[in-house]
Amino acid sequence: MCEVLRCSKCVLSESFPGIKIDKHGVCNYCRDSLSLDEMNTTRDELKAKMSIAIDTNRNISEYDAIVAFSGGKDSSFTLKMLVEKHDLNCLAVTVDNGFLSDKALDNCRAITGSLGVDFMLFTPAPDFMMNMYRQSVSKDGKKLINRSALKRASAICNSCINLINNVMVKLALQHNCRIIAGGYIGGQIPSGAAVLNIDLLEREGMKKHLKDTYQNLYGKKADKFFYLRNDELKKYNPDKPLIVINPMLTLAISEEQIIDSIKKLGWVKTTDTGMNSSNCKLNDLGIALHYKEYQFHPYEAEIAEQVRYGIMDRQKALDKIKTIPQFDKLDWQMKKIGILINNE
Amino acid sequence: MKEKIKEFMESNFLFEFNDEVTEKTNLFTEGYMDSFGFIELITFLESTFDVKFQADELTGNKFGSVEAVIESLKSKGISDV
Repeated sequence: MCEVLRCSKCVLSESFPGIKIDKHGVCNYCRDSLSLDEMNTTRDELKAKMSIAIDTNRNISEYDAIVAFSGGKDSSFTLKMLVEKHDLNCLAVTVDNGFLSDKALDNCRAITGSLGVDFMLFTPAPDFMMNMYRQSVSKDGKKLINRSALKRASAICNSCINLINNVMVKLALQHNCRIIAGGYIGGQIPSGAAVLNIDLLEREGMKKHLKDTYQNLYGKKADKFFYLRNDELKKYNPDKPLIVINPMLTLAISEEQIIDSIKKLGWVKTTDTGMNSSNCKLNDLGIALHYKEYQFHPYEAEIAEQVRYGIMDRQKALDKIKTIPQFDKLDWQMKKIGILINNE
Repeated sequence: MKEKIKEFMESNFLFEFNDEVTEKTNLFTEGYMDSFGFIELITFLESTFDVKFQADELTGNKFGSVEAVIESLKSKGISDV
């Protein structure tokens, strides 16, 4: 593989959307980013905003928060934080996408067991999931993946994230719970997304015109997995919007520190989920397909931000994003979702 | 200035303006910009035009298209767009 030009400060490559590398080798994302001091101040402000949001929306029903919990390191740490630091009564929900590592499921049970948290495993019908992944990389299916989201994650990951988000919203409505928590880390999404108000009426309205496309590609179950029913929407009070929190965006914490912390709860590193995931055995195929189409690693944005703020060593970052999974090692995943790649 | 906004959108949301995607196109509903992309757009506008939008100014789809963005900037006294 030929060497690509990368920002000398972070690790973004010349193929990354919107990048401009100057004569000093530094990219516009680094030049325009907050200084370390400014970022620390922002994190403190977000922490305060999140605490207020949590305090305003807790003790309303049997669960304070529905937590999107994959059993991976980041969502495990998030759950720990919500329980131990914020004393929230959480329902941890794992969506088994058909590629959940056995060890990740063990981790789900270990973490929720140690924290004394209720745990729900939801397994959508495998035929639906495999078709969803297959369609996510098809010409028509790509129309359902938001273009701006492809800067941060592969099409395969995004299709799953859309489904999981909807599952979490449905559960929040069912349980009359106002807080949904996720384990996004810095660089995966903008730091401003540490606390977000979600207007469900607006959200449903915006994707209404895509309903036919969803149904054509995904069949009748598309409604269930990507939309809310009217009776579900009736449970929603627009005066009291759902709050989505991503507590890890308020922290500067390294991968090593996260793992050290959750190891004490019985978390064990997976060995079958590739270099960038700690729960999903399909992740590497998503990376390979993304790289083939866009020529940048879908983890570049988050890894670059960690390097920029000194959370990850630059060499470690380069090792992570220079290693692109090869299709010939991903045969069983491709067969399972039913795609054929000509890897030339 | 308008070109700068369009350039930001094209490079960050992975599309190109053409006959189908125009300055009137709602990038939210057409699937080019999600809520996180929206935050990136606001951050870009605030730093580029040295303005600060309040929470109530961000609701009601005032930033969905290039035209809407320009109107929002004009309402903040930025006319050189």
